[in-house]
Amino acid sequence: MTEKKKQPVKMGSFYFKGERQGFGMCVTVGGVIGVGELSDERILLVSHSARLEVGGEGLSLTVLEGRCAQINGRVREMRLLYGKN
Amino acid sequence: MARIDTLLFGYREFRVKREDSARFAAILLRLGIPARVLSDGHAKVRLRDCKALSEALNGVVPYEMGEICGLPGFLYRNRHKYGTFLGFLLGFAIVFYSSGAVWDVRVIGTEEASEDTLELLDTLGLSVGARWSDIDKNALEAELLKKSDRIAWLNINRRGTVAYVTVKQKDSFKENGEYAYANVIASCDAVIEEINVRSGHAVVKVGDAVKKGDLLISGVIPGELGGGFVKAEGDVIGRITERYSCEAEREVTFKEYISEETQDISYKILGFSINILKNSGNLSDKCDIIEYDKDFMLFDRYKLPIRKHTSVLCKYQLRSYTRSTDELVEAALSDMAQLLRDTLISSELLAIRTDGEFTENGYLAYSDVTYTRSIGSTAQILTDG
Repeated sequence: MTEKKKQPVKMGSFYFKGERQGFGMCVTVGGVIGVGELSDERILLVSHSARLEVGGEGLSLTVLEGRCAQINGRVREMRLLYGKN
Repeated sequence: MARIDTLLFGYREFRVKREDSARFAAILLRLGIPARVLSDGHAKVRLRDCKALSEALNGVVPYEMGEICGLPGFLYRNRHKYGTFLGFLLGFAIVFYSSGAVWDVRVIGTEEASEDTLELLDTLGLSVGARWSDIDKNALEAELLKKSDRIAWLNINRRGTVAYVTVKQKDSFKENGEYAYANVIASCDAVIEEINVRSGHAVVKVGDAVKKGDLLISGVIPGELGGGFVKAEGDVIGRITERYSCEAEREVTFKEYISEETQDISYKILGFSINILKNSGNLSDKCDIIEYDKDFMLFDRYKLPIRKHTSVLCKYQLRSYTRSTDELVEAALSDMAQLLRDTLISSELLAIRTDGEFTENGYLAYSDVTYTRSIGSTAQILTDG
């Protein structure tokens, strides 16, 4: 017997948090509405009012439910930029 | 590497061009489809999300969709290999059936009586090969205590397929040396109704009024009887009269739940936890996290080693309202009834008189209760030796 409940996608507020994971970091970002760039060295995430640019090595992006995204890899720098564009 | 839930429920591999990987990730985000996107444009997507993703990608981003992978793919490709499925079912049935039997019995707490205890347990039905469903632990413990004159206390616990029998022998207190000698003292103010001495000698009689801490049964043997110390034991029943009160407040604050969001779903199979859904985010101040487990039964009789654990985030707002006079009295009396039920659980009620009065904050209900219960408690006699 399984339980299925459709959760509405919420336009949550922007947030990000990071924690160590193995030899790198795991950065969870909420309130994401788009992905500007995706490569091994640079990932750009877009929210309603800001952009988060993450640079490093061996980066990968995991999309989660509820407008959340997770970046894994060796993160060297993170830049928070104002505005969607 | 695929997530454990995608392996179990199936997935397909999507491949886009490297330069389209950002747009691909954006589409996944928009549709709310969880997947790990690599920079070379590969992603493993759950089977149930593939159709929606294909429709969204058609005409927007050129892509390739692989065959079904994971358990459903394996089952589909091997659907004609009947022997394999039969083997799996047979193996599962054997494991399930054999986990319902006792594989080992271990006695803890005593070494010398271990063999005797095992023999006794064997005669009572707890031995290697016995079915757990045929064993009534409570009846077995009671029967063993009756038949053994060396065991003071025992408990049988099941951990997997091993029965752990914890035993405490009757003379273990003396061997331990910590609690060899003791008195029985009053745990509260009472009037003695009944006294039965098993060890030691009584210093009070029926009808005496005692205060908390008074000696009831002494563990000190008088000199004319040989002197020395024993561990006093006995049942002392006292009559107690007390007043209990409960106040119900006029203004009541309660939580009104306004929304519910599933935070976490995981399945525990044979001790391994598989996470299916995890919603992360900031928690607001006013929210409760409710966790509940659901077990699965086979034919409503046999419990399967599968449990579903769900964690739900419920946001609430605080509301207050003023109770009416009737509601106030009902609440106070209900609290009083619950308090008396909890307090008098192992007592015999003789008389009760309940009354109440309205106060500034609400309504105060009080009950004058007379009841009898065991009032003896053991107090260690400290000796120099």
